[in-house]
Amino acid sequence: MKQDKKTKIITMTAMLLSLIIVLSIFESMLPSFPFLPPGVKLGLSNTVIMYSLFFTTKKSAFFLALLKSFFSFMTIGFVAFALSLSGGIASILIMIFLTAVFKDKISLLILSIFGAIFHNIGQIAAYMLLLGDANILCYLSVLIISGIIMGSITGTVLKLILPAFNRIFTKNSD
Amino acid sequence: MKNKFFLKKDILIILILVILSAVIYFITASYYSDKKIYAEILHDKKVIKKVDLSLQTKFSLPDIPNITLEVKNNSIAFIHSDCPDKICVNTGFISHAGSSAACLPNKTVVRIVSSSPDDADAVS
Repeated sequence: MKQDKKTKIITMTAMLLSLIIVLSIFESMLPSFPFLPPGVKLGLSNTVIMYSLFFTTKKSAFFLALLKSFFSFMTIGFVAFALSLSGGIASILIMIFLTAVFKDKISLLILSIFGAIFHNIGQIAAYMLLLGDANILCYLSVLIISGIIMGSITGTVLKLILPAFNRIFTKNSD
Repeated sequence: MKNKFFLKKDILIILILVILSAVIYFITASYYSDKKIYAEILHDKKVIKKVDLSLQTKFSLPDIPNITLEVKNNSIAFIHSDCPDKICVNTGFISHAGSSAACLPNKTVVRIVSSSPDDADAVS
């Protein structure tokens, strides 16, 4: 039985990863948002990572973030890899922290917003480390606002597709 | 996962975040306004000149004779260019660190950089 559960988590992680890759390809085709600086993205793949964090295991969420950044390493390059990884890890850590502290007193929407904001903060940190450019701190307020907007969107998307996710992943579960 | 999607206090949390970002914005804006800003002129991706924005001049550069730039009141602008679209001229005067004006047909970018011109070479 234990082996079964493990196999299930592995296959689920693989499916979620392919979903992340498809979503990031889809996202790169969208036009950039007006009034926001270039580089601000929707972060739809955060939806998938949130799902994996809350409904599978923490380990597989971290693993997904790592694999996702490895994908951007292969397609874009090292800087993209570092930015993606630090953003992803920061976002997962804050969501784990908030759920540990507030248990079920915190809403999915706020978790999603904080995930998006810390994704941005993690990326800024990596950017400053790699390029030694502190001017990017100017963008912090913009990134908080865009985190609120994008986090609300991804949180809503997760809420909407949750029934579909559950149908796929809990079918034949026992 | 039995968390609700939305709670009433969420509005308050979002409001606090918005106020926080406004505060950060004003702090960084005032911090950078204390710093000296100057303009870099790039031609073909290379910085060819750094301009002190406290001056009051109009000039052209030997590398790009078909462009005239004007510096006044701590800001800089393209005031004449031979390019067909005139996007660079229409950008107008720029004065904030991080903003830029570009003339792609002439491969020229003017951008505002903060920090002193002496240590600028480490950045570029």
